[in-house]
Amino acid sequence: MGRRTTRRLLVGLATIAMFATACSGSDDEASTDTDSGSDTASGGSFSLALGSDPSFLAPTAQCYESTCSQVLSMLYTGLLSIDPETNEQILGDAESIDSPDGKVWTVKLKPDLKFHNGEPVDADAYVRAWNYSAYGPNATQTGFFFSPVEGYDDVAPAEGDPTAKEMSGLKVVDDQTIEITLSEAFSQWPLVMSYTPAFAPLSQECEQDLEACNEKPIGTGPYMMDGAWQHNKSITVAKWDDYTGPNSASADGIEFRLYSDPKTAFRDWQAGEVDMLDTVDPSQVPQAQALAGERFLSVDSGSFNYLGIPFYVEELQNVDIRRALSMAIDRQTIVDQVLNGLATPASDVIAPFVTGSRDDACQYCEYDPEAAKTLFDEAGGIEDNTVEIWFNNDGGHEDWVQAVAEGWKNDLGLEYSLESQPFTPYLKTLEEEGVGGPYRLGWLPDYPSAENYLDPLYGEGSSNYGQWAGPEHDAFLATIEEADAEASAEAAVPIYQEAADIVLSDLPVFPLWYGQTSIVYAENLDNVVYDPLQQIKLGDVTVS
Amino acid sequence: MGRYVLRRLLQFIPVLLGTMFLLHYLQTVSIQINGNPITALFGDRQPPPQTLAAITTAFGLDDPCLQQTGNPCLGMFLDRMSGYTQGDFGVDFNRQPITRLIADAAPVTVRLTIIAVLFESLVGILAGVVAGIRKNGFADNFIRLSTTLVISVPVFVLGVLVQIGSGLYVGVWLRDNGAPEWLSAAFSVTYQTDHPWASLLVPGVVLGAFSLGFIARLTRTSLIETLRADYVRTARAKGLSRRRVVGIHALRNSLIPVVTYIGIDLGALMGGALVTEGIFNIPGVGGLVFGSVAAGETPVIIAVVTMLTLVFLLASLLVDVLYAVLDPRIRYE
Repeated sequence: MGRRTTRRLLVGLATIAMFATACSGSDDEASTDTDSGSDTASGGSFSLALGSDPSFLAPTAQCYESTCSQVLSMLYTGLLSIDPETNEQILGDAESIDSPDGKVWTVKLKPDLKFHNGEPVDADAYVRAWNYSAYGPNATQTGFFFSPVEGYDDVAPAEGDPTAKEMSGLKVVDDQTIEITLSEAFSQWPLVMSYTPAFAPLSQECEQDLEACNEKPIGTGPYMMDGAWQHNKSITVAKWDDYTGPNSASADGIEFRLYSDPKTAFRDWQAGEVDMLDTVDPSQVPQAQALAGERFLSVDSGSFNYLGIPFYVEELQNVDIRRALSMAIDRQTIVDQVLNGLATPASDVIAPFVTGSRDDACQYCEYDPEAAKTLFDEAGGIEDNTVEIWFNNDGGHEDWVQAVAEGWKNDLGLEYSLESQPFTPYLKTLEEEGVGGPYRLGWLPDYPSAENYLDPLYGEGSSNYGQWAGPEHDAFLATIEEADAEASAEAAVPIYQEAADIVLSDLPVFPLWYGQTSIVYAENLDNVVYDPLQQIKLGDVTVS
Repeated sequence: MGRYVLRRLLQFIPVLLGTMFLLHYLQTVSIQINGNPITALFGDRQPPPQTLAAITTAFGLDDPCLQQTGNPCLGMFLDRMSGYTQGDFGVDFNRQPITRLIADAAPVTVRLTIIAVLFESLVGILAGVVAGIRKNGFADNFIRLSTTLVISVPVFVLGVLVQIGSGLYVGVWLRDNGAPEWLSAAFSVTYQTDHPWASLLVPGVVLGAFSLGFIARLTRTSLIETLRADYVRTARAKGLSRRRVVGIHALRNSLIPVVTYIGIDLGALMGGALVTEGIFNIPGVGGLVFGSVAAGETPVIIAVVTMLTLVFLLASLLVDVLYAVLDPRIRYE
């Protein structure tokens, strides 16, 4: 799920996300695959603190941040999900998803699926939602997920008005069958569709009154709305008795409590007012660890943090300079001392929970000050011997940026100047190619594919703010194209790794660390599992 | 008096229009300099150009004048004003109507403000009077010291300390010992929807604490000065009781600066409750303003700040009217 932490990021949350190893709890949690609505220790209810008011609950295509997708993952089943441990597909509403060539995909839905209001969840319900989402004037945030589909450019052209309301690549074959034709073969398409908010079905009742539906969404999942959304206060969901799908629903009800400040939420947790926190403020992590013991989890958030390189800055165009700079970053020490251990040094550009991530792929991520100094001097150093480092100053990044800069000063004798702006003007500066040195950014995945850590960051029409170009970039694009055209998601993985190797060798970014998020919960809860894409698997949580 | 009030009310119109234009202009320049606020909705990701363009258009931020730094975008302002006359106040980035946002947030903040103002004026004036009539006595020194303390502790420190003390210790103890629900709600860590007054008591006290210090000191100084006035000596010479001299003759006149302060404070409390609201998770106006400024949601900023301006204006009008009530020498007309 594409979780752009928007406002939370401004409030400074971006800092806390850090760490590695899907060290989350228990082994019996991956249970979603087989047990249909299994409720071994069923009953009870609990509350979860969320860090902000969700942006949207309907249309789901407007949901592109973490709080709304956490709620929606309870209200909707989704076509499929991906098991974070085994990386296997777990089919939800879909009975099968097949393609002979990676270009034409046939999605068969399970029979007799229903919305919470009794409407059938059929091919029409899905195609209706997708066409709504992609149609330009509807201005949805996740509409671009459909850009690989044939006819997307007709409904959302880059210039001018749309010439069609529906994508020609979507065909309802019968009630249970959808045929999706992509404009080019794309092996990762099923993984893309696992981002539920972008691909959830839309009921007719909801389509007729989206505003009412936003206050009280009509879903398909194991939980349904229990009363309307109390903005900035709470959202309550209750178990749906008629649910037939595969997602579990152990607790009878879940209350989402909406906070504006995670520190306040933590004190409410201490007082026993709220049972679980999806985010612990970094300043309270030691206290949380002491109080909660094993009920404090630090889990891989899926985020990938890096320093991007502006290729329009001449002194950074030399690959040896980039390699030397990257080797002179002591990632482990910064993680331990500045980030309080709440991150894992990066060894790849692909986060560990995704198939294809490797723990030894990044040769120039190993801290080696001597080699770095030698390489740096041989390459002729940097003019003026000064480097600028750019970051946004409303996300709590200052400390580690300073640590990186000090490292360069010590190991390479390089002077530095730190340049920062608030987030919006920072993005504008990046866009206008205005930064004078390495710039901080992070990436949260939209779907669990190696491709999602590569093409959107360095490909064409992507977040390639640094304007990486040249023969290596061409080779990268060709490799991605080759992998996209593979017949299956699995077969493409080694080729994506080749593309990652090009990035890791030419270093258009310096990989820094993988992020982590912290969860804390009450004594009466058990089986708390985090998945970087579905977030906390609330349906599995048992209450005693 | 009636004509005076009417004239003042008419003066509100240019002030409010000016406020709205100024806010509009500031926001326009901010977008021109800082860039399109929609880009921040996507976090670190660069959204595809179609998506960005479609959302920008949907929020009316596609006007070419937003590319020209310094251009006041009068057209956009007139559109907005004509929307206002038709009752359309716009939406935020989550497409929530601003009227609904304000209708949700304002009552909470009004309750919080009422508690804070009642607390600060009752306790503050009482403390000021006690200190004023026993100048340099123990009570006076104690009040002077404690008010200095309250004024010098920043609200975010005081708020968190009180929250931990009352919420985590008193509140949990009360709940464990079977206190009635409203009582433990009064000592809860955060605002509780089910107890809209009780759970605002502690935040209201925190919010009013700073002004309480000021009010106590203002009342004290003012009272000491008035007590030296000739007419007070006359009253005393006439043999009036001390209670009557202080309570009716001296205090009434001494309250003029205090009332002025409370009036201005009313507006400040409505908008400035941001920190307190944040600490106690109160879904009020302060949080609304902060969130919309951070996200660059111009329509919300203009509507809410204009509303706060109106509160300020009404409060200052009320203060001016109260002058005439408090001091018979002041007459309008």
